[in-house]
Amino acid sequence: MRSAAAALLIVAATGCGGRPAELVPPVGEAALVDPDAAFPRVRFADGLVSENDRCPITKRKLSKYFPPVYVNGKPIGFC
Amino acid sequence: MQDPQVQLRELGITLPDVLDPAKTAVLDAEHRSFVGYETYFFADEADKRRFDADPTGSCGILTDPVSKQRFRPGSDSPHSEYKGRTYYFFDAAGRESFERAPDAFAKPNYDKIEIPGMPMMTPGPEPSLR
Repeated sequence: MRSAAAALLIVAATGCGGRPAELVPPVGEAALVDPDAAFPRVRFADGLVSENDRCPITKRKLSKYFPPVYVNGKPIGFC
Repeated sequence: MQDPQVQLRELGITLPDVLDPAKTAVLDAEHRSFVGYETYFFADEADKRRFDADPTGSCGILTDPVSKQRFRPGSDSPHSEYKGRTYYFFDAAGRESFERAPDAFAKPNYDKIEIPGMPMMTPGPEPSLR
């Protein structure tokens, strides 16, 4: 009986909160993937590379200084 | 930018459906959901409904609107509704700050970006993609 209660307590302690939130720290600084390219993509601090190679607004080169917008988890860069 | 899908289509960007990467998402308002700063497009209405029922299960990594840290939300992550959009937070303190001044956090604040050797940046694109 006691062991069953203990097992229940363990389950409650580990299972009640469900899937916990998890921080995803940056892996580096934002940088142009190929600085010599006419329209270089940006590798952002999370390591993901921009889906686009030019600004959605101006159609100019991307800036590594603007944080991306994420669409379906993919980063879209701006300028 | 009121219609982010227009800009994405202009750039020739195609995206996989978040729930079923084998399917290509449809880039239009009917197949779109917002979670905090992030935007999601789906291949069909069924996937959109499934996603909207519990975004934390498939939204992937989000940006905490208060701390701006990237995090993977848990199944019971604190969240708040504001102007028809759900915002998730890494912790309860973030939600409390947000709810005290939601307008200060509901959109990314690009006018505070500092670039070494350059004057303070002016606001970037109006983040309707967000």
